[in-house]
Amino acid sequence: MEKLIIAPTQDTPGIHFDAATNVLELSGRSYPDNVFAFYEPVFSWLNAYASALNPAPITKFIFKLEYFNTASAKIIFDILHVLDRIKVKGNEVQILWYYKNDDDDMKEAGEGYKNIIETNIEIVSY
Amino acid sequence: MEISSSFHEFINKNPHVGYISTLNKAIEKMGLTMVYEGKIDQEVIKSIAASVEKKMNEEKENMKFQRVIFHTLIELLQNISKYSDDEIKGKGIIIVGKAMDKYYVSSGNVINNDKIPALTLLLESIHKLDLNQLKEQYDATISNGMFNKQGGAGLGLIDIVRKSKQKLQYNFETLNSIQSFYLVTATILKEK
Repeated sequence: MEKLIIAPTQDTPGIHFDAATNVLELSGRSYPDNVFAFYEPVFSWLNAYASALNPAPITKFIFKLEYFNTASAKIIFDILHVLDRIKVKGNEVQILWYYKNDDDDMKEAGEGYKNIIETNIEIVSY
Repeated sequence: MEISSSFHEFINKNPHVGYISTLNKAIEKMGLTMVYEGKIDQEVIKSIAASVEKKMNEEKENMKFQRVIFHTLIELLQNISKYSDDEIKGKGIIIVGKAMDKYYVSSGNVINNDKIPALTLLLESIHKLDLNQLKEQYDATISNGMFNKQGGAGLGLIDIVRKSKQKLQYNFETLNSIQSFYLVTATILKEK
């Protein structure tokens, strides 16, 4: 499977999804003009990855966001939902949520997702 | 010479110029950080965001404070760009003001009168919620499919009130039988 690599910009995050290492990372700032359009290739890739997984090693998903708007908050929920489906199929998924050590709101956002999606998210400061 | 003399005449006769100088005085007096009026698209949003961020950095504002201001600014700008009913798509005004211990972010745009009841209901319902209920409402909106391509179901406004912990001030100034001017102001307090 091809890697999905999108360089970060001022208003869109960096995407680095690698099926060979099973490490998927979303980082930077996310407040695109149209979240649904921007994240469309992300979901295509994730769904293809999810269906190709064949008793797999651990998938590691890293969220390392500095800022996201409310439209992106909805998208993050949807990403977590896809990861949850991968888990339900019996694959192991490790989700890491990074926040800058002085950014309480980013920490709380991670904790919030942990509650609503009822999945294990490791909240890590840097 | 010809051009500059007619330019001068133009400025001299144009009533808007007086408005600009009044606005500039108001900016000085009220400590306004930024005023923008015009079409707001993503390029404008990025440039306003960068300029306000630079200014807050220069003034060495606390990072948590900066983040809430930045978020409020982005959400209000994106609301204008998506929902303004001005003839010019996405047209509106955004004002960032600074007082001693707080910042204000105001946004204004033309809105169709038929949208006012639903928006008023949304704003009133948000204001009835305490912090825990705001969080519940936020979680519900991102997880129940209410947020979709048609719109954000008020998530931006909910989150501004949640993060700023302050109510919004808002009003609708009737322009004619079809449209009004919607103005909303968020207040962000510096934490003691």
